[in-house]
Amino acid sequence: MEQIGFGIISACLLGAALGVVTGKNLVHSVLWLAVTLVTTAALYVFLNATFLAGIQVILYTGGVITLMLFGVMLTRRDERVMVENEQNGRRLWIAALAALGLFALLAAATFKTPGLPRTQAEPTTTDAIGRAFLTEHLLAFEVLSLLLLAAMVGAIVLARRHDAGADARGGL
Amino acid sequence: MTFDVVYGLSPLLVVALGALLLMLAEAFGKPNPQGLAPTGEVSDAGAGRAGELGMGAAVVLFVGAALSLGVWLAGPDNLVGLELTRPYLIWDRFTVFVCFTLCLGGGLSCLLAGGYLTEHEIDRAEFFPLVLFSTVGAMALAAAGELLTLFVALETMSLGVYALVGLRRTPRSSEAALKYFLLGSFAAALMLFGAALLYGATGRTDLAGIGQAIAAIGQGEGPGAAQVLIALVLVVVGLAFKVSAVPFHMWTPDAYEGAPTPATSYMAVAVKTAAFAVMVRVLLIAFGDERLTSWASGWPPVLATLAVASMTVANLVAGRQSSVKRMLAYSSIAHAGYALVAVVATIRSPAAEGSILFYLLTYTVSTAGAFGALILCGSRGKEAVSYEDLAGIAKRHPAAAMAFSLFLLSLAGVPPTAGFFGKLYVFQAAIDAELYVLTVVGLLNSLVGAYYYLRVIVFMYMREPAPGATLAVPMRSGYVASALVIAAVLVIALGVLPNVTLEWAAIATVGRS
Amino acid sequence: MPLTSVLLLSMALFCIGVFGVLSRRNAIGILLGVELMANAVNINLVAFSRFQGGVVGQVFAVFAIALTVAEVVVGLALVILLYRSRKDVRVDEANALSG
Repeated sequence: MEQIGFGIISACLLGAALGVVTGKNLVHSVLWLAVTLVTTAALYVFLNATFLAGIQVILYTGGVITLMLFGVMLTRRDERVMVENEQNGRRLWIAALAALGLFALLAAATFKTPGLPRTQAEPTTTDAIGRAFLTEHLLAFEVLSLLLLAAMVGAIVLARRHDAGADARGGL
Repeated sequence: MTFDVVYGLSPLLVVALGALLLMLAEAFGKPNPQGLAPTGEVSDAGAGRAGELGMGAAVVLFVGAALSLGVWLAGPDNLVGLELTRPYLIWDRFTVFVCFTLCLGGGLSCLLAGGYLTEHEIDRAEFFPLVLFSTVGAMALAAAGELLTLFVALETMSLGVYALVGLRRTPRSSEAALKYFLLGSFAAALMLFGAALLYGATGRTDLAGIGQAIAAIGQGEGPGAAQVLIALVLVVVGLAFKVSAVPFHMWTPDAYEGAPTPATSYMAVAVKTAAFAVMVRVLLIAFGDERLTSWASGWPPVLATLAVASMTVANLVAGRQSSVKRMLAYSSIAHAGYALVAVVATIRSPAAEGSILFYLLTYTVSTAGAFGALILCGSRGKEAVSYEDLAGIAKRHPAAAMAFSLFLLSLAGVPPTAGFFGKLYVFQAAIDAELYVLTVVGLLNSLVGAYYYLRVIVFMYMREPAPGATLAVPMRSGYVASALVIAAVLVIALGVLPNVTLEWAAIATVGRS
Repeated sequence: MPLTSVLLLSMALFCIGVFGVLSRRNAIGILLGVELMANAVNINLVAFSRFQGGVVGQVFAVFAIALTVAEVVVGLALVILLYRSRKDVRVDEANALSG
C-alpha cells in the first residue's frame, strides 16, 4: 500500500516538475510548479512531517505561486516578448546533458552508500520543532527576522515607482 | 554572563540596531530642502538626506569597528558567556578581526554613498539600512559555526546586496542586478543541496560535529564518503561564486559596473571578506579531515586551480578594459585569486590564516579607497568611467589624483603601502606551505597586474585630455573626502607599521581540530 | 519505502531544476528552476530527518522555505524593475553588458 502511494506521488512530482521546465507558456509553468509544491506537501505527510506539509501549502504554495503569477502577469503586457518561454536547440541539449550527468553522479553516490536506514525513526512532533526554533536555533531565528526585513526593504525600494520625477528623467 | 554575551556580540547588535533606527529615520524624517536635487521636487521623506543618513550609517559602522576593537582587547576567550552562542556563532578572535574589517569596509562605503547619492541624484536613502542589514549578515556569516545559521546569514548578506546593485534603475544596472541575483540564487541552491547531503551523511549540522563525523567515516570507503565528496564540491562552488573566483566570476564585471559605485565598493570589500572568512572556517573545521586536506584526495588542488585561474584570467582581461570601474572589478577577481593562494596554504602553514586576515584588511582599505577616488574624479555632469576621462585629472584635481595613485599602488603591491605587506605575507605563507608553483604564478601575476594599475596613473599624470572632449568635472564632497582620508591613513599606516596588526592577525585562528 | 528511493526522487527533482535553470532564457523561467531545486533540497532534509531521527532536519527545511520565499520576493522585484526599464525579461537578449 505504502509502496503504491509513494509510486503515485513520485510519478506526479516528476511529471509536474518536467511540466515546469518544459512548458512553452510561463503561466502554465507556474501552475505546474503549484502542482509540484502541493504534491511535495503530500510527500511530507507521507513522511510524517505534517507541520512542514502545512507550511508548504500555506506559505510556499500560497505565497510563492501568487507572487510568481503576479510577476508573470505584470510583465506580460507585451505578449510578444514575454509569455513564450523559448528554449533553443543547442542550449537545450547542453542543459539536458549537464542535468543527466549530475543525476548519474548523485545516484551513483547514493548507491555507493551502504547501510542507509530502511526503517523510519520516531516521528518528529510539531512541539519539538517549535522548541528547537526558540531554543537551539534562536540566533538563526533572530537573524532570519532581519533577513525578512531586508528582503522587504529591498523589494519595495526596487519595485516601487516612488519618485515620478526621477523615473521620467530616466525615461522609464 | 549576560554582560559577556551582550558585550561580545556588541558589534553585531549595534549594527542591527542602527539598521532599524536608520530605516525609521529614513521613513519618518522630514525632507531636507537644502539637499534636494536641482529639479526641486519633493518626492519622499528620505529624499535629499542621503548625506546625513550616510553619515549616520558610517558612524554606526565605525562604532561597530571600535567595539570589535574593544572586544579584541578584552579577549573573546575571556568573555566566558560567549560559550552560550556556540556552536551557532563562534565568537573567537578570527571572527572579531573579520568583524572589524567588515565594519571598516562598510563604513567607508557608506561615507562614499553619502556624497555619491546626492551628487548623482539617486534619492534612495534605503541604501543605508540595506548596507547595514547586509553587514549584520556578513558578520554573522563570518562567525557561523553551524549550517542553519550559516545559510540564514549568507542570504541576509546577499539579499541586501542584490537590491543595492539595482538601485540606479538604469537598464544596464537592473539587468546586472537580475543576472547577479539569478546566478546567486542558483549557487545558493547548489550549496544548500550540498549542506543537505552533508547533514544526511553525518547527521550533524554544526561544523565541528561534521568534521568529527567525516573523520569517523574514514578512508574513503565507509558509508557516506561519496556524499561528503559531492557536498564538498557543491559547497566550494557556492563559496567560489561568492568570492568571485574564475570560472564562477561571470557576474562580477557586470554587477560591479552596473551598481552605484559605493555599492560596488561594498560588494568588493565586505561580501568578499565575509565569504573568505566562512570559506576558511568551513574548509578547515568541517572539511579539515586529513584525507580531505591532502593534496591527492581533497580540496587543495581544486582551490589551487581556482586561484591560478582567477589570478591569470583576471589580470589578462583587466588590462584590456577601457572602463576603469570594470578594470577594478577584474582587479578584485585577481585579488580573490591571491587570497585563495593563502587559503590553500592553510593546509600546511599555521601562519596562513593570519595572512588571509591581514590581506583582507589591506585589500579592504585599498579597494574602498580606489572606488572612492574614482567617485571623486567625476560628477553627475560627466562620470569618469574610461581611462580618457581621467586624462589630465592631476592638473584639475591634484588631491583626487594623488589619492587614487596611492590606492592603486597599494593594490599593485608596491612598497611601502599596505598592499605590499598583504601580498608579502600571503606569499610567505605559501612558501612556508611549500607551494612554490603557486607562489611563482602569484608573483608573475602581480607583475602583470602592475601594468594596468600604473596605466591609470600614467593617464592621470602624463596625458592631456583630447581637444574638444567633454571633461569629467571632479565632484567636491566632504563625505567622500573624509572616507579617502581615513582609507589613505590606513593604507600608509599598515604599510609603514604592519607589525602590530600582523601580530594580531597571527593569533586570530579558527582553532582547527 | 526505503530512504534510498526518497533520495533518488529528490535528486531527480533537483536535476530537473538544474535543467530548467540552464535551459531557460526567461528570468522567471530560471527562477522557477531554482524553486524546484530548493524544493528538492527540502525533501532531502525531511527524508533524512525522518529516517535518522532528530528534529534539526525539519527545522532546516522550514528555514530553507523562508529563505527561498524571501529570495523570490527580491527576485520578482528585480524582474519588475528590469521590465520597467527595458520591457523585456530575457536575460541574455539585452546584452549591453556582455564581454
